[in-house]
Amino acid sequence: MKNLYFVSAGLLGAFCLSLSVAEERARSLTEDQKIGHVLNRLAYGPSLGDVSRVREMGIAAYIEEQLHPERIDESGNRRLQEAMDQRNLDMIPGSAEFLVRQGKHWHYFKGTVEPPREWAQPGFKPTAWPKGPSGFGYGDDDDRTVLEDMQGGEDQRGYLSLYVRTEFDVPDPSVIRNLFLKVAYDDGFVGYLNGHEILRVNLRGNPPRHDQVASSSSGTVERGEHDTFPVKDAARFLVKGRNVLAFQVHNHRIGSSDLTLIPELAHAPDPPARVIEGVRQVQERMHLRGVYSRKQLQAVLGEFWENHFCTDFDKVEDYIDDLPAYERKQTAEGEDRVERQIASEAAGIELQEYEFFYENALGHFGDLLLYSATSPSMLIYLDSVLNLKGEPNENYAREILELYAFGVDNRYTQRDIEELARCFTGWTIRKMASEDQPGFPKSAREPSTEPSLAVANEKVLMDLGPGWKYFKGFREPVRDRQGKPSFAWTKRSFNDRLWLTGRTGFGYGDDDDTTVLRDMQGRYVSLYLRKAVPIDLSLSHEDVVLEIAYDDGYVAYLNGEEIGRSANMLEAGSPPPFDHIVPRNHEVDEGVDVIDLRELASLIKSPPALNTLAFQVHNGSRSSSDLSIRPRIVARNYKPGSIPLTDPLGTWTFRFRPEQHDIGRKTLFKGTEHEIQLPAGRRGRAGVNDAIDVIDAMSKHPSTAEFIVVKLLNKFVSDEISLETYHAKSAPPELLALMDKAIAAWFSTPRPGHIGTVLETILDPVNQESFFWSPRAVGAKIKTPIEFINSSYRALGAEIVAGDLTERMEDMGMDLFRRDDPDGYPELGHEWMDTHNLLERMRFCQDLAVNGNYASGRWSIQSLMRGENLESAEDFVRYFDRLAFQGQLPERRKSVFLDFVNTDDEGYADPLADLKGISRIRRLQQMVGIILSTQEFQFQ
Amino acid sequence: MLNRRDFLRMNMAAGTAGFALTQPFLFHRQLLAANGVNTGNKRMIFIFQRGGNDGVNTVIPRGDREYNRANRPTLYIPKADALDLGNGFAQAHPRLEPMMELYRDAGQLAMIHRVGYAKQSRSHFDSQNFWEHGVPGDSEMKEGMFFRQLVETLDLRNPKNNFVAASVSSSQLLALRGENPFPSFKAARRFRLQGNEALAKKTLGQAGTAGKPVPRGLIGLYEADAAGMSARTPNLYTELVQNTGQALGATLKKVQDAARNAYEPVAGATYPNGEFGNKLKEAAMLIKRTDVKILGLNIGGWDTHADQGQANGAHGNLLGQLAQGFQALHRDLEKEWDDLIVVTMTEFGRTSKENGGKGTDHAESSVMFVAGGGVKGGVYNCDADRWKSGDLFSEKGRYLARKTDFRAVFGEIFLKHFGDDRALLDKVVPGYSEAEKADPDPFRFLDFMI
Repeated sequence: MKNLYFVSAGLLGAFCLSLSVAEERARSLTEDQKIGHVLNRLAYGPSLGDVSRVREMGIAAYIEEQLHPERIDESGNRRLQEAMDQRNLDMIPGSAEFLVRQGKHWHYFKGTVEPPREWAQPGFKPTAWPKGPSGFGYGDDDDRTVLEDMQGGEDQRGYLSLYVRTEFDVPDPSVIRNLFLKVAYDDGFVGYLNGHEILRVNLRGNPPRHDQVASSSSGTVERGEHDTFPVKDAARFLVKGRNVLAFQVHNHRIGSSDLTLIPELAHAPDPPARVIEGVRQVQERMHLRGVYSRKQLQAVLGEFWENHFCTDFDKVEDYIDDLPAYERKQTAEGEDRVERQIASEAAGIELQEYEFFYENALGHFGDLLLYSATSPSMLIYLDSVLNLKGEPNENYAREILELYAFGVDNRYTQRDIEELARCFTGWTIRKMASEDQPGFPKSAREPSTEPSLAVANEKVLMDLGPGWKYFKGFREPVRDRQGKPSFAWTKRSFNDRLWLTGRTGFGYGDDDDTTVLRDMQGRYVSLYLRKAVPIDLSLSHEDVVLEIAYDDGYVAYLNGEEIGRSANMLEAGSPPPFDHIVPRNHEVDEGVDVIDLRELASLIKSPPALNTLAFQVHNGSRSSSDLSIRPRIVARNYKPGSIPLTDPLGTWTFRFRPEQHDIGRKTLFKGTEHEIQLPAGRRGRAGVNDAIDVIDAMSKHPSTAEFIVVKLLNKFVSDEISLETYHAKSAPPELLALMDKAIAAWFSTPRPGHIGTVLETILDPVNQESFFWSPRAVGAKIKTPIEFINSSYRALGAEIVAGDLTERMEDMGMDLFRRDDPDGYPELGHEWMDTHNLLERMRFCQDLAVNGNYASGRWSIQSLMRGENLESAEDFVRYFDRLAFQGQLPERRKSVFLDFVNTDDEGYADPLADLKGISRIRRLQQMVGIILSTQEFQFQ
Repeated sequence: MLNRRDFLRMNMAAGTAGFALTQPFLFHRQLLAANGVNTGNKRMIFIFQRGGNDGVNTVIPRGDREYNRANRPTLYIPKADALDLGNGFAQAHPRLEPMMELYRDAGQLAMIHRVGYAKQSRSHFDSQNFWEHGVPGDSEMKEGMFFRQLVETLDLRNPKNNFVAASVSSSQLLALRGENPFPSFKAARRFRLQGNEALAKKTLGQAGTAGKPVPRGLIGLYEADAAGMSARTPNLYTELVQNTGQALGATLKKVQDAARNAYEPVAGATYPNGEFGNKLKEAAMLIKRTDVKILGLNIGGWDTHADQGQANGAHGNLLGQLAQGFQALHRDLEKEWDDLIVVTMTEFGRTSKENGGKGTDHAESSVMFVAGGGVKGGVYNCDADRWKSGDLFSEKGRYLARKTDFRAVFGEIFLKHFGDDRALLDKVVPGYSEAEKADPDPFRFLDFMI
């Protein structure tokens, strides 16, 4: 083993001498070296295209262009646009009205044999088919019509497919512009409208036979998905009046543990809304811009600011997941479905923040700081949402000073943290209808003080009161011919003359009931009630809703159709038998259920006709101490921006709660020339100005200028300066001088802290004399994982393909948007250089070079050979030396590459020249992996 | 100040000129170490609780009247729920039950309360650094305290010493950072190059030899620059990258050999589920199968600003994992136990009063756990003699003041476990004697080591 330290010691003499030589070279960096340096720092490393662009337009012009990304036209970059677009999901827009809802009753046919050929046609009469509410299936908790005999096994044969059809009314097809199917499915299906096929997923055959298995092009389908499908073209099949929607759903094998089908149909004046699918898609976006975009500096800075104002997707997701409204939604709609929504919303929150940082990357620091303070992600991440009057939480107050503006212990005290924590009391978040959300800075400076859904006024259409008929659940109210519970009592035609008469609310045991059921406790567990009510949907109110306060569970019916049920009765059957006991209790004060009656318009008769509203109410136990049911119908108008908290189309945004704000007097930076006095008594929305005044003052404070300039210098120039070595004046003098210049630039604009101006000073594109251009700065920074990965793609001209890219980032310790600690991923090189990281990097680039699955990238060595006229191994070495290392690779490294390419896997001589075809290509690819693994490629 | 010998720090402070200056010192130290001050078989696993553990709800000062529901409305743990520690004053969090066999039966677990340092930083990042490099107040120091313990006592140039320490982590713990990189990995099994064994071997390569001067593979790509070899201007990290590449090349095989056969802990040793438990299991495997001396790993999540929870909340769950981890190590490493220390560190404690988010904020001192065959079990700094009622607010009316400097705890470990002498201690913990002289009380040994 060679002794490294003797080598180092031996080097000393030569090294000291070489310093002056290096200084000499400073004034004579070659043009190629400069281009490489600029692309290593302002971009994610050299790519063939960008090297020639810089060479053509000149270095100074390239930097100028990068400093003004708005001047770069990227509309023609289809590769980037398409890749980003693929990572969005379609959603039904907020303006939609549903034609067919979950829970609607469908006729169904079990696929034990082939159904009649015309089963999906409007003319077919499914009178012999049984009827049940959607969803259909078994094996997970999202089915209302449960098909216990479908799963094949030892005890039963089972069947692979299910056929369902239902009818709905369309008064005027000509007004329908955009049509959407929303389908939860497992595993494959075909959908038909009036007999025409309109959508197909994971299913082959024309038409698929009843015993056809579901499959996808990528193999067998394993789990259910839930998606919105725009089916605009299908609107032409709609007819005035009665229409038929039909589906066949198939399993991937007969013994499968589950099957699901929940189809819904909606139309809207607006095209589909787009949302991001999950955090992976946000993470990939950073790579897509970093690898493909011509606005490289903006991509680098977008990543830089996102990381500076570090937040964590997981904490956002957990926060939403724990909100009671979402927990209710999960029990009502199934965990999978709502968790996907939550993942998408949390990713949307991270994306919204990243997009602002990207768009404003070269703008004013004060905007970035204020945006970050008011961004839902940060409000959740550092507990501002929990910062309450009288009980301040210091988390964010500490970190905005330490990590986001001033730098640790840089002219502030613990007392300032405590005062600032009081300024932030009352800061929280809400959801808002996207179209009503004000842009920045209004969103921050004039925040809403209302909750997500704030009622402006309401009109009660059916209040608690008389007119109800009821039946005590000692037995079924009606049974069908087979003796099973029947829906007959929910229909208008049912004769309820023999039922008792009473007033809502019904129940016992909690003093909130008008009709008190003194005999219920211990004797019967259910209650049936019904009433004929007028429902006028023509009112101009935004919403007409049925609001149900209940204890413990219920099913609601309108004109004989089920329109909703409590989450704890999802698996109770249809209709639930009279002796069903609800598995989980629900108390009246745990929140009311709301059913939107406008979505049920096709079911409702307009006045003067009456509608039959019916409920069955069940208790949590025979001996339960109470039961309640209190339904009301209310027409409402909401305040602007209102949206239900769990609506996936709303946007999370900043909200200020004056009642939680500490309106006492506050003093910050006491006794310094930057002292801030905040007067007592800022009531109402004015209270938000306590913290905003401090944030506005921060970007004019010398501590912020110092800290942000140090971070920019570390990012773009050198690791050899820190706040401490700046203050101690022990950093290299050239860097101290550059730091002073950059701070002067910070204060040179009317509004201090303009990033573009500061960067222009640091980069010095015209004179090229700042420390940025010193040979000591060139190649002296260690790449972070995203820099390493993106620069590998760019060096090879590789495409990012679907795969494990984000897992590779995680393996390298840089799981974007998901850092636990609020300090962001480190910039200094020694933090990234350890054996684990180095090994992960080597594994990545060797896999990328041979197009291995692990790397999530694809490139073509053949087209590189053709395009650049590369033939021999030496040609390749020369090409990459020039592209990635500006021709500076030591000969000794090149001989390692050539040794590698000319030996077989066992290490014996096996010249490349003797190889042909695929083995030659493979060996060359492996050598390219080795080239990217060299120590020089760790640097930028 | 220069003989602090921090290669990075030196470079940063003095620029490239400093680079040259440091070299003779490095050289000198390597020669010293070659003579071998200490080659004992004592070992240590250290666990860093990232985020700042709430010591007050870990080892509960029941005898302090200020520990009550008024100060901690949702966090307060009633007397009947907590575990008795036998001194009539302190109690343990109920979720620490799994480590009580080590405390009660073996008598080899020390719970040391009120550990911190003067001018406590309430920044996570500064304070973690101070704990790991051992020089509170110095934010620029980049070399770890345990690295120094090793480099001062062993010849790290000798290939047989290239695996005397490791981090079971996706990045190297600062406490082990220094000019000679030690391996870090999340799982030993994954610490390998891809491809079949032959290709992996080819890729790894070898250093140049007299017979074949051209080096091969990755080892060749990370060789040090000979004079005039590279056109590059050497920078801050040139040597670090080369050394890391060489360390990787030198340790890949050793780690793979250790992980070759599936690892089965001793019956009855059950590691907690999840990442922390997996890392501990890796650590135990390496202790048994290699000659590694110091292993480090992290457990995150202690920054409980919100919803810290009571016995079964977030904090309780973390303590439960930690306690089960100690129990599993103790049962699994029974043969190695006599020569082993397992020690925890955390950057600070938390406010004695609960905040409005049902959590606690950054404060000062906290609790350390030390276990091992040579440990005198017991509660330290939390008894009726040394804790006055109201001490919960003894610092600035908000925090729990420290009684013992963390360097004194490690001082005792370095001296009594690793067998360092006082002169060596001052090298491993620079400024130790000075700090002790300035304020002797917090440096008084607690004598938790036999």
